[in-house]
Amino acid sequence: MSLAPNAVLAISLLYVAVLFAIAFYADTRGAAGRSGWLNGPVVYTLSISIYCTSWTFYGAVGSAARSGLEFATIYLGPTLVFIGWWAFMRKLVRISHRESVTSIADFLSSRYGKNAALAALATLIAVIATLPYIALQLKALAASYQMLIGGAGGHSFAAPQVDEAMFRTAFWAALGMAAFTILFGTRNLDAKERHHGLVAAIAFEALVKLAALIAVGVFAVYVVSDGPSAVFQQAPPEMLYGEDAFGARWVALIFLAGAAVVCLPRQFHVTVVECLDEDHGRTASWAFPLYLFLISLFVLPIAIVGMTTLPVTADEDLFVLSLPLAMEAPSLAMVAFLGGFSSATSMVIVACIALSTMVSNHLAAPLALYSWRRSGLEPSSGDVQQFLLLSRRVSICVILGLSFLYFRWSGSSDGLASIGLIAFAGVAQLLPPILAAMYWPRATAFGAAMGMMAGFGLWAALLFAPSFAGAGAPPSWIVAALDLGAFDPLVTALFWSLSANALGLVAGSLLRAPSTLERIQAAKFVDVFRGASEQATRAIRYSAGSSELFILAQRILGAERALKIFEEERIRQGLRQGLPEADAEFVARIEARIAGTVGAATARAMMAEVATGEVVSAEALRGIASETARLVDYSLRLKDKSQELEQTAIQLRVVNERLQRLDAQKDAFLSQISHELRTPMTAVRSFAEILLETPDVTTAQAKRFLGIMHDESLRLTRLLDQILDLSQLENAQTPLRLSVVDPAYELDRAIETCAPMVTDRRVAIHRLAETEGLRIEADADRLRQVFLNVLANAVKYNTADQPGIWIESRVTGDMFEVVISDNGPGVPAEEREIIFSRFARGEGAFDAQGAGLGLAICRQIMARHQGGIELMPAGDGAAFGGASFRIRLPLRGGDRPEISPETADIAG
Amino acid sequence: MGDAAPDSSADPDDGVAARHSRPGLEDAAAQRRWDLGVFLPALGAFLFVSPMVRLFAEPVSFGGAPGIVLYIFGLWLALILAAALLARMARRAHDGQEPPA
Repeated sequence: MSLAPNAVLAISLLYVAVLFAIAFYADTRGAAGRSGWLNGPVVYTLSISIYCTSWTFYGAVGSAARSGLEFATIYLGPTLVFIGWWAFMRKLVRISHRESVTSIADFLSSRYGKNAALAALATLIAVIATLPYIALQLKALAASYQMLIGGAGGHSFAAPQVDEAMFRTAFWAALGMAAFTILFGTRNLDAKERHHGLVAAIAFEALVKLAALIAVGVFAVYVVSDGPSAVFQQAPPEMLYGEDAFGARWVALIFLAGAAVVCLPRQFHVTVVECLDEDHGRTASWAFPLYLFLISLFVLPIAIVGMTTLPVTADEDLFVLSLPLAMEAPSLAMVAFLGGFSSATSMVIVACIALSTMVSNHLAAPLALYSWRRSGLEPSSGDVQQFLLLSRRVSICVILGLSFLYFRWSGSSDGLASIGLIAFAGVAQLLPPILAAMYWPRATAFGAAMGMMAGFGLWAALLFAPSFAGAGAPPSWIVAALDLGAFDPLVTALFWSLSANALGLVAGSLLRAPSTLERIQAAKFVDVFRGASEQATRAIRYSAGSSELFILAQRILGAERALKIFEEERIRQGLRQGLPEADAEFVARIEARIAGTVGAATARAMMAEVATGEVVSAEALRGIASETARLVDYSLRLKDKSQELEQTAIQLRVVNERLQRLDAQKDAFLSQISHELRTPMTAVRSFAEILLETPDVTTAQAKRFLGIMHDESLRLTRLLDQILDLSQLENAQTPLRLSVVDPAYELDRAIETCAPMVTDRRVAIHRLAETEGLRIEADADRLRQVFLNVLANAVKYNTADQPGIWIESRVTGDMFEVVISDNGPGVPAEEREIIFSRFARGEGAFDAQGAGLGLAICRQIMARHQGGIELMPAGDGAAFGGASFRIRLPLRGGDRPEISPETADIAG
Repeated sequence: MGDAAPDSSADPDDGVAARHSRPGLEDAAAQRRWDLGVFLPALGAFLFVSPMVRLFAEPVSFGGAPGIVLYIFGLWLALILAAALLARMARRAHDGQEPPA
């Protein structure tokens, strides 16, 4: 069955009118500021579903009928991208809002140093890659129209002949769509390229096509067939479980679809540029995949029912339409047609708006700028806006014209899906530079351009060119070099083109260092969440004349808007009249506003004419940085130095105190010496005086006096000897006369020397332990002197009734020890510290013969021998009741007690 | 006096680095969402890509629908639900914040 052409046309135009009405309504409410839910997340999410075009509406079923579940890849890819909103898309949106990006080409150009050439290249790639996509919409429209009005096809529902009738339909469709697009999207220039009305219209359209497809689906499953299980039972087995169903092509297509949902110009426009609030992404992250899920739900059932119900000759791509037609459901068929019509027109409108924006901003405007400058023209305020609008309208017509030509000349035997995939692969060439823009600060414009050209070239050679009818296969040398026959041609082409792209990007970026502006923009993009933009803008300083700036602003933004902006600034600066001063921040803001209309690169070029810009060069930045580093280093070193000084001061103080102490000690010593020396001298002098002055001194008396004088002189001499001895010991002036001695031998000799004193006082000597045959390197006389001194003290200070001395000698570790203890009163606690110092004489000495230097000398001697002499602590020493001295000497070189020739004679 | 200069010049970068964790997101909650934003698609990609899929590509039927269809669409729906949950978590966090500048 078929429908009357006029009816179809009338209904279609009615539908378009409804869309216009919605757009108008939304625009009016937006202008009045009462947008409400129209600017909300639901509308935003539905607008993103512009992704589903007539390729989805018709071609998905066709693909399902031919290749089973492969159609799902086109929707799984975007699902994965959107559920990962937080990690990827959000950053894209944030950057674009910050930088007032107007299109995908603008995004790239802005990131890579506001590079106009790169923007132009990206625009060309986007336009050429989209041509097949728009062509397939035309094909779907024409074919569905032909089938609906019952053209050649009749009851076979075969694919309509691609003949003149088809081309004519397509031509009129293209014309119509150009008109719609110009009316919808180029009524005025919005500062941020926002088209509120359009967004509302396509949100409505998204609901229409979803409803239409579900309607046909429900019809197929429950009316034509008997429910889902019946449907799947009828499925031919090889449909779902093909040989290589889930192989490389499956993976590649998921990846490709994910790339497309980001890189397709219309998708970028709707998702990023038209995004009013980044927070809407929160909803879109799950709601858009849900939409895709719902629209895919009935695709497989419709395909199966179509395959089993319709004749074999039926064109799978049109099952959605031919099924209702075959089942005599004209209204459903009309609904289906409307769904397809809707999806095709909305795609074309949005795609053409997005592309024409890019063409006018990045191709037309720079050329115009160049020619104006060449001819010295000064375009007046309204001129630039007019020019931009005109260029957009012209480019819409050109794009549609080229798409129609592609449709005309391409081999049209392919399914809709395969044409669409060619377009996908083309726009995917924009993915590597986008990823690098967001994550790799080192990427440069040169690298991006290299990559894009390499990838695009391979795409054109491997996919685009062969798609033209009669083009034939790629040259055999390419086939051999790239091993094209081995895999699926799409997968291979995708692999090679993207590899070349990525390689070119990386190699090109590393070959040359980024310019300063590239670096600044890179930081702004990659670190967008770190708030680095304020620091970055300060690195670019423009200064401009206010009046020139105002003229420029008028030209681009329009007189009204420019006036408003400058008024606000004037008030902010607190001036009462005239133009505000154009400081660097204001100039930067104006540039951002202009970029919102004509793109970053053109805005920069225009600013450069009006303002003198000074970008702080990288060297200057580095110089400043190194100066700071030097200062920091210097101050750190100062800190170290001052710490050192502090420590030195402390040390000096300590030493000073010691010197003062020693000085005091020296004074004390000198006064003591003079006292000690004077006592015997006084005795000598007095007795000498007596002898001289007393007339009759008896010989006995004289002898006695002389004896006393002699004793005192001896005492004096002894004292002086000791002083000299001690001094020499302390100053190490006298070398020790070292020889190998047996300390036990010296100890015995010392005891012998004390013998008279011992017997005199009736002191008992007890030998507790003895060593034999030790060999020590020591000064024998000095050693004996030490033993003698200690023994003498033990006798002198012993006030016990039965005085006794206990001597114990032993080897401990590698030291030789002698402990000499007595049972005298011991050393009182307060004197323990000072007995080894000079002139300290204990209480209770029986005779004043010693001058108190004895123990001091002993300590010096032991110190010179690397040994020691100490007063044992009260506990140990009190074993015998009195003082206990321990003398230690190191054994040299692990001497073992052995019988040596010297000691053999003495022992025993 | 000599101590003031070195200390203050050493601090600014440390302060900033301490405030922002990699990859430079605003706070810990945003960091978590970022992590999940990477994890969910990665998990989905893994589960959708063979050989996991091949495991289900056997001609079996569960209640009328082929296993593979149920697997693909079931997994799809599960991922959508996970994303919706994540969005719910984000909304609670977002309501507590001031709007972004």
